Amino acid sequence: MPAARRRDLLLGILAACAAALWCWGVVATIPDAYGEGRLGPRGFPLIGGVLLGVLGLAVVAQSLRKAPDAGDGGDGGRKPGEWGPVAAAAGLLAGYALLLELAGFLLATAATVAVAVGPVLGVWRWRLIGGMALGIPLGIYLVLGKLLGVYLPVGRLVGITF
Amino acid sequence: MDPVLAALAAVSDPFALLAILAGSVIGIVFGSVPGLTYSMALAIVLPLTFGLDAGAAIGMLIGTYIGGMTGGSVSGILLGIPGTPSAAATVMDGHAMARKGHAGLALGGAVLASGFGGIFSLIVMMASVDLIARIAIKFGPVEIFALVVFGMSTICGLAGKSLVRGLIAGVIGLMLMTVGLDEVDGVARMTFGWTPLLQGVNLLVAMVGLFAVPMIIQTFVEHRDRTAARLDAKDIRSELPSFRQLRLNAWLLCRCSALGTGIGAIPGTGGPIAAFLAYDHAKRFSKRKSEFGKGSLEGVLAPESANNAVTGGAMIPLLSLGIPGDPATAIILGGFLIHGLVPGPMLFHQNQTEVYLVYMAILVAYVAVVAFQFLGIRAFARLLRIPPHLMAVGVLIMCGVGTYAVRNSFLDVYMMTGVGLIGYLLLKAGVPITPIILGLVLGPTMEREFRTALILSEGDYSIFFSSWTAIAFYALAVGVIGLHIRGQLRGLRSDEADGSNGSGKESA
Repeated sequence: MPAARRRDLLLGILAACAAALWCWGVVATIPDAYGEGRLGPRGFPLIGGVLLGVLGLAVVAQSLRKAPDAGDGGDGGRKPGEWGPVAAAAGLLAGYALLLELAGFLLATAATVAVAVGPVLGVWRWRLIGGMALGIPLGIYLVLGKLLGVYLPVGRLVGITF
Repeated sequence: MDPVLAALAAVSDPFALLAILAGSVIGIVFGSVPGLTYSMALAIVLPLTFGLDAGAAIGMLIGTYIGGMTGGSVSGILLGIPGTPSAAATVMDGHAMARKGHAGLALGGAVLASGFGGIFSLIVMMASVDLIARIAIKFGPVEIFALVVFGMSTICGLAGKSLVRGLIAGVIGLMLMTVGLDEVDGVARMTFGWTPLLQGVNLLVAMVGLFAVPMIIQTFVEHRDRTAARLDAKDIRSELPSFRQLRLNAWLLCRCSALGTGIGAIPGTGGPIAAFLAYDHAKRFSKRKSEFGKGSLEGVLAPESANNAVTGGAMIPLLSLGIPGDPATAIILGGFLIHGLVPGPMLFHQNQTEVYLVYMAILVAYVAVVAFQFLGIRAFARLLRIPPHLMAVGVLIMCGVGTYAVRNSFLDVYMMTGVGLIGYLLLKAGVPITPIILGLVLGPTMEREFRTALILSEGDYSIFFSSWTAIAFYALAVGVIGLHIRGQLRGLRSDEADGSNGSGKESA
């Protein structure tokens, strides 16, 4: 089976499974309408789930019936090495959120920038790493935090406040 | 003193001018940083106006509002991450233009269109505030629901080659927005008992994730493979659309500005709906449809003129009826009240000077915003000279800070990451991102108005066909869908014909 068709089949199956799970969640956790003739809180999420299921099955049917259309920008399957940057970006973002919560804005930002530029991107220019790790947090802190009054996170464990 | 002259004197006071300029700059900064909103800017600016006189205070608030609405296109065009939901439609062609080396033209076009749309809506507001307010106030849940249905029909135009994939994206957007506390019945939905999830998925958080995370991942991939394309710095210059381009698009600008003004006047709608409808309208009636999505100037001018025309439109119910259409105008209303200006029908009789002051402040703010943006185009465009992988690191940090600032919630940063990863995987599977944004924007309004209408009719579904305005919107939606299906069928037939011709040639 060609890679593009496999991708479509997988998309359709995943959409249909996600829809089934969603509908189960809706029915199991959201109460029905309180009054007669009302569309309760369950209505829209359920309609959404059913629609997603139908559309997922349509994609499955399409992929089994004929050569799939290209969609927009699909690449017919991920190259094996592409998982690295995906994991790096996800790890950096999730790690940054965790660090913000624990260490506060200044330390978290400096550490994340240093890790992103050095180990993740492999740019081992110490001046650049130092400059960015100091410049970005200080710049944001001065412009957004001090000048414009945006609330920046203060860490729970080692928060630095000024 | 004549009210017009009194307003002119108040607005030309150096302190009032300075307040408008300061508000415009603050608005542009907040608008152009993904995650920060002009509503947030207004909330921060409002306490600063307490000590100012009415002229300077109103000017500062209006400057912030207009600067924020205009600034959203900057990051949208340069980075592909809209600063505000209203700029989401501008990204499709604006960022494509920037990637082709026409960032200056895209930014210049966006600024001109924004100024045109804003001043157009101001003129309409001054000429017909009473009439439009009376029409707009007749829009009840049924009419707004029908308008949203019409808005959803534009998914057809945004879906690209596969309508099914576009619909999948739109439905995912609708579903995401149902997570959290139901605003009609106050019931937890899809939270599975986890209290933090009651806050739901914020539109801005999801939007930043959907646009920024795929961009960051893609940049990391290109850096690793050493395939990143850097723009030639010589290509980036402060360029404006030519007079010929403006002349060719003048009628489009007028139509989209009128659309934005009309939608802005309807409370509870707003910039994103206007921008998407204008984009779809421009694409549908363009002679160069195939250029849309690949860097069409029309695709920048249409949404930018419409979303800025919303500013004047939103002022109509605010001034004439005291009804704010969105959180931003609600904060402006608060500012008006603090300074003794009570919007409503009596405003035009009792506070004529202040009304003219508002008009003039809008005009001055637009002139200031356009001037600032033109002056800044070179500086903005210089951002593109930064190596993309280093820019991605800066974007990652700004997205983290911006999404946290939306509700001071760490969960939002995790949500942005999660939604962004889903968006990246969907993109890889050929599912377009823009319809998800449309679902996110229109979903809550659609559900709220639908359910409110049903409550009003005590469950009688015929209420949805009880208004000619609503029926007209349904007809427009059916027309848009019908035209799209016809276009797709024609495309299929011509593909088949080309295929058979091609095979004929081969066999010959």
